[in-house]
Amino acid sequence: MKKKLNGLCFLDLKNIKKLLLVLKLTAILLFLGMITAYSSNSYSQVTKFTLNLKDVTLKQLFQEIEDNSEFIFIYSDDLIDVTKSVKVKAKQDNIEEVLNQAFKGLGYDFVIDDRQIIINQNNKYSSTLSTTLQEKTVTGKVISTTGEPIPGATVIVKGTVKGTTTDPEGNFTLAHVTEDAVLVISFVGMKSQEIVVGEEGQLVIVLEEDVVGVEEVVVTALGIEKKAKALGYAAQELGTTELDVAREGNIGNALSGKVAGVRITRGSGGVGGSTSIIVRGVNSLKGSNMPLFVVDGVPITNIGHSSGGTNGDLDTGDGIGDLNSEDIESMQVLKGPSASALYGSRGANGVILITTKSGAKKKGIGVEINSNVSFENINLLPKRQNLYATGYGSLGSEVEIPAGSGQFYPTIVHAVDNWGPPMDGSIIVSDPYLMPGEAPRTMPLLPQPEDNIIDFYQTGLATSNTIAISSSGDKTTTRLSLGNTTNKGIIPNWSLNKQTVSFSANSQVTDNLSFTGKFIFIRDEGNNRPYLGGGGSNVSNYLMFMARTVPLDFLKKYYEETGTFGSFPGVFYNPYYIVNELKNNDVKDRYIGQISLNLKLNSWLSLLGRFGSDVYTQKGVQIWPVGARSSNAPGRLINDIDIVKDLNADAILSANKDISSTLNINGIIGASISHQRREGSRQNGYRLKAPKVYNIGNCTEIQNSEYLSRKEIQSVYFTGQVGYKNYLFLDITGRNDWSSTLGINNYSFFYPSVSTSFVFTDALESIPSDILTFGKIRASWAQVGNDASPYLTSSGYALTTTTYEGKNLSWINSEVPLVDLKNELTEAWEIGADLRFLKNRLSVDATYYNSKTTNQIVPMNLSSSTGYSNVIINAGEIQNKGVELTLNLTPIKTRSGFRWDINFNYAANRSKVVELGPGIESLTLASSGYAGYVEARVGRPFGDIIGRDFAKAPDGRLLVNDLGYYYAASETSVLGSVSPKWTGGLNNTLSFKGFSLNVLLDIVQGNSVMSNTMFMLEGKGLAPHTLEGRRPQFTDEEGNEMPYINVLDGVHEVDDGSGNITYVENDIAISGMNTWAQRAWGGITKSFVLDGSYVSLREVILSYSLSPSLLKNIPVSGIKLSAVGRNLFYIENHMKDIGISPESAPNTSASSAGIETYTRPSTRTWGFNVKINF
Amino acid sequence: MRIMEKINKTIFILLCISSVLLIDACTDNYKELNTDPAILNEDIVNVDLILTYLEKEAFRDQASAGYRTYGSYCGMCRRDDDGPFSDRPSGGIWSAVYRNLLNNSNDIIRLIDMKEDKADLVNKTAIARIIKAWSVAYLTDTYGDVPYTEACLPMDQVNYHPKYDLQKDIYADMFKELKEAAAQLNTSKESFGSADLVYQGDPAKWKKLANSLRLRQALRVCYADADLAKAQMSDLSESDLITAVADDAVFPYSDDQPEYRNPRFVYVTSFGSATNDQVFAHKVMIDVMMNDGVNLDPRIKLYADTVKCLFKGGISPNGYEVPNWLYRGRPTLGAVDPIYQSPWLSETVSRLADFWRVAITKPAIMKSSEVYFNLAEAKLRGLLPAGFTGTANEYYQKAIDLSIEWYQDFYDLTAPQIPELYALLYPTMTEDAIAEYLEYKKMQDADIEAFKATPIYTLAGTFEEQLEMIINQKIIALYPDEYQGWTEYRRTGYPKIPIGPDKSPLKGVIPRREVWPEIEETLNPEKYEEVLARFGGKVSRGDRILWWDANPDAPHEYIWPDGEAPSMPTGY
Repeated sequence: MKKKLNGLCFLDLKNIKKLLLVLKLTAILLFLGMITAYSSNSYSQVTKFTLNLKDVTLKQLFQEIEDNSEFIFIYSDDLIDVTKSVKVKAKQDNIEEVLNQAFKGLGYDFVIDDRQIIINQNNKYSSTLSTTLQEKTVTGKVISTTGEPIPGATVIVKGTVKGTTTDPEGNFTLAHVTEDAVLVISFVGMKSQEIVVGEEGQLVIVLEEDVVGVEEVVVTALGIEKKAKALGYAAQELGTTELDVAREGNIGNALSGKVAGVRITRGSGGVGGSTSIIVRGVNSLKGSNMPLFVVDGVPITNIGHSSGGTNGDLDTGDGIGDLNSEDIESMQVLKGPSASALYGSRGANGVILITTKSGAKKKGIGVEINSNVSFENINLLPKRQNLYATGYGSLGSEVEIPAGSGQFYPTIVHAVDNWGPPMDGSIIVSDPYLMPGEAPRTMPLLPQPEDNIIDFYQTGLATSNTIAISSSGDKTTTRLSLGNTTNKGIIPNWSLNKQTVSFSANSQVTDNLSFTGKFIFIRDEGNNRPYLGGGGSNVSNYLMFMARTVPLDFLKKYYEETGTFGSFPGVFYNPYYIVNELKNNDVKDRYIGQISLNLKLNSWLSLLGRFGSDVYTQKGVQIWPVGARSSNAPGRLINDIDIVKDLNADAILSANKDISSTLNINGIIGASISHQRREGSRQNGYRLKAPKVYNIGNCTEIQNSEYLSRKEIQSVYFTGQVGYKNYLFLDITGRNDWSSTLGINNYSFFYPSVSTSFVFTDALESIPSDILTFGKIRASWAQVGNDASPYLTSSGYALTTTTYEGKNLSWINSEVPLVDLKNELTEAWEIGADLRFLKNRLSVDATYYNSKTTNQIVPMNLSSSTGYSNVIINAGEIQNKGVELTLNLTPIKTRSGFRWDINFNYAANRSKVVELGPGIESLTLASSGYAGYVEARVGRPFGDIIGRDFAKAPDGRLLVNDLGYYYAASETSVLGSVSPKWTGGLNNTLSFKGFSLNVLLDIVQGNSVMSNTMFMLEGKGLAPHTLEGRRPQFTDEEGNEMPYINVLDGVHEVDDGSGNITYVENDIAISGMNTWAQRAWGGITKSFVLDGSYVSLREVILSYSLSPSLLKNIPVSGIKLSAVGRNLFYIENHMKDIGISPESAPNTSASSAGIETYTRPSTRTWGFNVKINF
Repeated sequence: MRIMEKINKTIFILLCISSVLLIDACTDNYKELNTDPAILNEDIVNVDLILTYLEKEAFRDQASAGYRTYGSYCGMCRRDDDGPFSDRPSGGIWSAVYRNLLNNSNDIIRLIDMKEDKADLVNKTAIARIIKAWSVAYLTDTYGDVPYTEACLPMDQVNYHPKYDLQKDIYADMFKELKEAAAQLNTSKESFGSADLVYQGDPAKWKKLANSLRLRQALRVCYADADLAKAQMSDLSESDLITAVADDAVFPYSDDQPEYRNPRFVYVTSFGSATNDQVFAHKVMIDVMMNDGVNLDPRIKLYADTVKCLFKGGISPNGYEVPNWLYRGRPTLGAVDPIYQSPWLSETVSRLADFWRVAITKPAIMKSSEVYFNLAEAKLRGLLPAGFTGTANEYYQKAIDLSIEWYQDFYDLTAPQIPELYALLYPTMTEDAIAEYLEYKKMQDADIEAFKATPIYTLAGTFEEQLEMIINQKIIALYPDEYQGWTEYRRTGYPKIPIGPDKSPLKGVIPRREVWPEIEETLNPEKYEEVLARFGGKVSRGDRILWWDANPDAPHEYIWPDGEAPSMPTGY
């Protein structure tokens, strides 16, 4: 037996041989990498200068050196007179020799610290290190290059916890500072500066604006930091400020409208529910299309709710929703395969890199408190007609009231369709809404107030508090954060609670060895989450389709006094009974941890070992009491346990070496293993023996089931980058994966990528930097493989765990496996440009990409007559091509500090299903449950909505049948697409001093939604437009009003018997019911496919950061107050006629995103946020 | 040398760390990792488990297929809505029969055939073959020509595009299977035992079922090929058939899981109200059982409830005068104007008795009463071999007797479950009221005797008149097997069904078949086009394209002329 620990065997004798083989391979690669590097020279020794300068000032010399190298001179104008003229003659000399020559006789000395050269007066710095130094009070002023004072800049004594911030005039004072102390001055958006205190009293520090992007470092695949300018592919980052104020329950939602080419679809689960994220269109027909989430270099599991919209289950949230947005430093979206190629199989749909916060950037202890309170209320409510009662034209049977009086009154028909008599109060009916024992009485037939169901809902309240303590010393930084989130939903009794504990530690153990450990614990608890879709327990469903006569307060009273749901005309199921009696609870305990060791082997070579695990257990309970409706009537209990483990280990050797002053080579080789295990069990118990005892032992009938799904991927990979003169870069990567989910001879697959970036503004100095400040073009090509879900390569016989008359049952699986299963392969290329004008006042980033995914793993549907439902095949191709555009503009920026920033992003993706498989023209992806489907059709974009249009005559007029109503065309046709034509976001930020106002519009255009709500509202005569043609207009000869009132505009098809078809104008009068209900029940899909385009006012944030001068006398370094509104309203919503949100996609599966089923009313949130730093 | 030292040192460190981090760096265990532990492979699966599944799928789930719809096509019951004449293709039976029935019965046969002791397991093979034949009959009687010889092959030999065989050829193989299976059954060998929920593996009873099925299917082809019918009956004898209620082939609904109970129970309890089971007694069956208003058929009490007249002064909201009917059925109307529906509003017609809605009943695969009705008809047609000495009338009367016996057993099985059902449906109903209801519903010997004294109990008249009598009674006996009822109607044209001036695509034509599922056009296009071409390129549910659907006199339905206002029936 293998010794297994958490599903992994750490040292397995049987596998040692293989292990050694891998190690040998690694060693060879390592050796190759090292040949180039047999000595360890510092930059100062390698960099050689050839100079011949006469009568230049020191300043000119420094400039010359800075221009030709990466050296930076640091000095104080007060101490060093840079106007002194010097002469230097050097031929392939190093910096030390050059400077010794230059400083000869000037009385200055210097210290070289890597690329920094600190200049001071002789005997003031370098030679007096050992002497005791005087402590003094230092004062200074921090200004910008234009001479404006910079308030709020941080001034820290390097290596200590001592520090301060500048006042509004940019001045600072620090007491008890030694003369040799180095001050580090930093401010957001500026390059940090270090300065030696020295003897002089008043320091002036000039901070240069940090030209964003030029030296900006971005985190790329595997956590490798790269210069933004060296990237050969598009990557977009969201920073802290964008994440922590406008808190969303799910951090995935925070990406809405902010990142070009990323489409976010909130699940209908609402707060705490799952979110769908699709990057650059759908690549895989049947596989997952969700990007991989990587937290600090380690992949985490993100399993969301993905079942179709018509079944009524719970959405207990997804993986990324667990993270506390307060702990997140930044999110980086790696969009194309080039960016994510190193993640291999798991990164085929893009990668979202999450960097969590670690110890304070400044020395010392830092405390940060973030408090948030927000309210949620209904934004859109389904619209219903308020004129006609239940039934079909007439009223129901007569009741004698009072008994024996001979006075008879009709009843309201006990139906759920609303084609009944008008509710104008003119008819008196027997009141069906009676408490038990109440004497029969009458009431006028009148509707309830419009939108009365809003009274059922409540205002949601969410609070979130995080406290983070960080400390930073010389060797170690740590951060501990505690977060608590509570959430009360808009549906009574719905609540969510989340606690997070996050700890990270970073330690420089020795000069060469550093250690990082991170640990996050999350407890996520949901109570009475609302059931979704068309299931029997979705309360929104019942409220939406409730007849207009039903008094909500009566239903409440009836439930409260009797404890039962009762049975009343126009009520499927008493909503108060549902929310109070049908309960559910789920608790997830999740542990995300990682340790990594980084060993610096020499100045350019280091080795990283990393182990990460993401483990959680989720336990769910659902109960239906004795007396509940439907098959749950005798009481029912479901216990679910799901255990998910995602373990990852990497060993990465990385090198970074300057071959010459113009050529830098860096790269890594690595090996990793990923093991994913999901298992779970369900106990489904029926028929409670004792009521209200919800223990599985109390059930008479118990169905047990369990599942286990395992997957392992082993990989080796390398990446290398060559940089020439810091403006031309070439990146190559390669990775080989061995995935357990593929066919026995196809475990292994390799894929490469190449990308290049050229910063032409650096290369061509003739470009005036005032106009084109920065310019880069990039290009890349990559292949990425995508493996399969487990268990597609073998089959057999399924076995029930339930019994029939005490017997277990078994049957042959209906899916034919593919023994030789191969990986899917995505090949993509992209080109792009990053241009920044007018000193970054305007910047444009544009990308064009083109990708195709071939060899799709598709379950090809089979005719049932084969005996099977489908067969797994490797076939099919999808193409995606598109453009992404990001535009940043700062139209106004005044000296007084007013600033207006505009960020606009746009993405248009065009997908095409090129091939599906031999002889397959279409593949059903999802069903609406009624008359519509989502299909992939050859030659069409991904995700066509398929259904029946109205039957039409050749001239396009609608056909009417013999009964006088429209009917469905005999052939199905494409009625829309779930894929938008383009998506975008427009973000405006206005800031002035401490104030800032942020307004974000989120735009999705050109997609369709198949609305089951519309289908039902129309079919049941509840939609307001079904009023048309209801009123009796004709009277018969005896003066009776006849309900035939509508003659549909259309023609009849008349066949004269010999095949000649003529079209005759329709003249058949029909009832309002047949006018509308026949569309739904007649399966005219077209009438409920709606335009899903929208423009949403997604986010408005007003925030104010207290001026540091106000905080002088209290031990607080920063306070930020914000008011936040989210999802406020739709500027454009083509579904507002039925009162639902076009974002009501029921689940996170890409293909089902176009199907809406009885969703909860959409909501807006608004709230306040306070952030305090100590 | 310093270089080498450095390299060695680096490799050593790498080794140390990698040995901790690189785990299982091989793919030896991948096969095991990628095998679903919840799936049994063919070496360990037990065919007994598959048999129970197969029986449940066939005799429980398919027994309720077409519930409420096929009943409207044969006068057994009447669904509430007006959509019985839709011309939409239907895929439900298609996929269930292939994937669940044929595939698994083939697989039982295949798995046994792979075993070394297969000679000792002939009974198991034979039982699987009988169920297979039942399934094939059900499939082809629904659709006509269907894939058969190339359908449902083992997983490693799947034919993705099987051809459509002729119904005639399918029948030939089905007869062969039934005949061979009956011959294969051997009482001295091992059988399924308790895994078989129909006969507990009893080979003798399975033999009777095989033969009775063969009799049923042989009679089915009597209009198309009387010689074949005669040939298939030639080796039968009465003692080889199901001749007693105790031997009826029935399959129990199970209380093990909620969804395994009677589908009508599940349906009615899921709404918490019996009024939502929108299915009513049919005019045709009520009219037959009313027996001209005198000496009612005693079974009517168990079939339907009396009309509950709730209106003041006997006037319905539509202004119709409502006399106090005893029983009143609803006719099949189709898509008609409301004026045609008004006389049969739900308050004015009988609902099916709640006995059909209790949790546990035993749907029949083959009843002895049906066997005798088949013998009566076969005798009438002169198809039976000499060994069958009874007259058609004797078989007819025996069939009715057996049916009455079955209804008595049915009452005994269901009556004790009524209080539990009523506790759910009518919580206010008192125990006394329920007891009174149950007492009233009991068939009385005197009523049975009186009924038997009426002319309906004796076959008389022309061949067609006698045939109509047989089928009318057979429908009552077959109930609630709506599918077999519809099939009898399609074969013979009886019972006669009056239909409203239907405006739906079929224009009041009772469907003769189901149309192959539309998806075949996509999934098996070539073969689908081929079979369509056999029938002129396009088919409707109303087309008589089944091979055995060859009675030149059928159908006999009466369609009210368009525009003729229906007069209220005088009532009973």
